[in-house]
Amino acid sequence: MKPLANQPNQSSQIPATPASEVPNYDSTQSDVRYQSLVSQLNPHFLFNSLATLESLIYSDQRLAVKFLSQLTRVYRYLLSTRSTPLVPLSDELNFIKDYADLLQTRFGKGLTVLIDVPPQYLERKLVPAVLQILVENATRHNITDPDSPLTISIKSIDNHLIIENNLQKKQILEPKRNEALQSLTDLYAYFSSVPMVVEQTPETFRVTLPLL
Amino acid sequence: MKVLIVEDEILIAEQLQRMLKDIAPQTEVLDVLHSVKTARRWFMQNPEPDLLFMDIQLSDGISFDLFNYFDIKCPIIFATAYDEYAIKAFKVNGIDYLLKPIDEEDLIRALEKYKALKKNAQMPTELLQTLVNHPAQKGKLYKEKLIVQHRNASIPISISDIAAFYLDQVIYVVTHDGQKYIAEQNTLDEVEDILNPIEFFRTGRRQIINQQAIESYKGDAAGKLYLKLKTNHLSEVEISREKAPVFKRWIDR
Repeated sequence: MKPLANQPNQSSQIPATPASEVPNYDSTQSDVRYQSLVSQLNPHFLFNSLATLESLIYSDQRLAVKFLSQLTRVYRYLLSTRSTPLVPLSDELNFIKDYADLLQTRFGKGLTVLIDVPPQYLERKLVPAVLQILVENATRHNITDPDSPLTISIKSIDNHLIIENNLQKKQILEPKRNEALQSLTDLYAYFSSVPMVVEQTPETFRVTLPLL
Repeated sequence: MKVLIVEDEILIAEQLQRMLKDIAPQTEVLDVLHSVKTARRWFMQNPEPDLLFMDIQLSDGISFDLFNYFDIKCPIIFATAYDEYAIKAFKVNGIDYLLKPIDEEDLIRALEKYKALKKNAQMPTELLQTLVNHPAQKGKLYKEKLIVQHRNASIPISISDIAAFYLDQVIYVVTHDGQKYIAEQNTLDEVEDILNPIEFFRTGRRQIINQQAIESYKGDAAGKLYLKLKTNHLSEVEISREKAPVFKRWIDR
């Protein structure tokens, strides 16, 4: 059998498009683009989370309640920021902590998400749900097994937010969501003259976002 | 029913185990495997389970990958959160496709499908098991004596002394010590009815043999079996390819 999905999503061939070459989007165009990006939240995430919740209701009611609150907050955030072009980093980080916690409850020791952002950056802005898209992308394309865990780190250096993970690709189904990174790159080009940069080495995958 | 679960999310696997315990308490979960890697190792070291529950996208790859390494014959129930790979699943022994969180009714239906399938696929064994274990059969007392004819006289002989029955216009009865008589019955079917199936086996249209009378047996390339009997009246008995597996199960109990 041939690999079912071999399109490299986290691949080196995604150059950040220089801002000067991006056509001037009017805001309607950008909205359309953005809506389609957000609506790509993986249904796998929802249904696997519900299956996890079902299990927790039997085994650990306390954790079930916590899990449910986090799931609720994640979806509420995604809904409430749908028409917001930019959000403060502090909001986005609170959201991604919930999201990462949900994933960690599901994957156990197979996933670690480290967040290290100094307070001076917390009021800077970024595109809502961008961290969720990048974290989901990392877990979708890489092995999240306790034997070889995935570590995603979110840190800020020099007015940039860096999202990095160890690269250990797995065979995946559903390669159709591959355009997410390109859409994000285009979207950042619309908001900033400093491009979003995607880099890959044999060991790591890194996205650098300008903090706006 | 021995079940293997391949599911990368531990909590979801636990829930499936709970549901199986509720719905089918006789289920034995052999193992819960969380990755393609561990599943591959498991199939290298273990015989196939009766039934396999399997997620498709696992933490280290796609479970379909296993079929590149193993010729897995057991039925599979796929369980997945959301996707459209049902067609692929059914190409690899998938008998059902469940969506997570798994609905109890759906799981019950899937297990019933498995049971129906198993019934049809394993008729010979089932039939034999029924014969041997059926309460009606278990309690049934088989005759100990059989009246046979010898030079116009009726002679009662012990059934346990009979090595074989064979049909050659009339039904001959051969004993372990080489005596030959004629049975009162007209057909081998009638004879078969009064014999304990644990001790006697219908090898074909013309013979019924006692397990005690078998000296040895060997197979040929076509899958037929040839029995060598201890009695000289009926030295070699042939068993067809179709009946050979049933015979083997009968003799190897």
